[in-house]
Amino acid sequence: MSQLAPAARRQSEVLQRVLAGEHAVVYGYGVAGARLSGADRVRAERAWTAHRARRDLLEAQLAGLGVAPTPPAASYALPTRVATAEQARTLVTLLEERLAAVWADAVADLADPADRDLRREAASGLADAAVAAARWRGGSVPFPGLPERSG
Amino acid sequence: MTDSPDVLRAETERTRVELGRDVDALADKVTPSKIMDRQTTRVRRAFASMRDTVMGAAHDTEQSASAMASAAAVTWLAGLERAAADRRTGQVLKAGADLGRLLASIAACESTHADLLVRENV
Repeated sequence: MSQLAPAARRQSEVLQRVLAGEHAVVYGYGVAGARLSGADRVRAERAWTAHRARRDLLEAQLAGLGVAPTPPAASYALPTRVATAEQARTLVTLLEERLAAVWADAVADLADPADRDLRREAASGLADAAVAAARWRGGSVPFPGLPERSG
Repeated sequence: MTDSPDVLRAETERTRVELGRDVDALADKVTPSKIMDRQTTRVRRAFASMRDTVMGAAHDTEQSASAMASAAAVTWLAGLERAAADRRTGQVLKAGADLGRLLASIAACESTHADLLVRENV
């Protein structure tokens, strides 16, 4: 990694953090999907597919920078119990909220003019996660992705 | 370009505080349910006065016309929210680290409003 230019190193570190988040969310949707049925199940499957696509894109971008993408963990400690459909909805809402925060931090970390395209992508990742969280939650929050303002 | 990091940081913080205040003031105006209430009231009032002057009382006409106008208003509002989100993303690209993060969050909120407006009213 020492041969990477500073911009590429910064970008790859940000991409790795977001990728780790997407890995966790993909895992979480797999767990939650098993507890959901009907329209929620369909929605969870679509979200799972969308997050996998985003993960694949991030992996391709990292490979493009000459960096090995961080692999997913074998399993994840779930932040909530997932035994019922309601708990499954709570889990995916929480995951999308946390992912929104990861994307928001990526926006902050990609402030250099050289990061422009990635920053636009991070803003759109934040918006996608915020929209998904709002759909599961059934309402919006004033500052998605900014936990310090959610008090 | 002669500003020291401390000066820049203070400036950013001040902008954030001011922006936060503006956003708080705006929050009431941009909450979809409140916008809908205001729009619906306005549309109802307009239709009510039109009915009184040119059409005479007909409750069915008022209700269906009002419902159609509301649907158009929702589409229009969702478009405004989407345009606001797009504009905000343009601002994100020009801002520094922290302000960019805040603006991206506001853009995401606007996207959420556009999405909820469309989904709740189709």
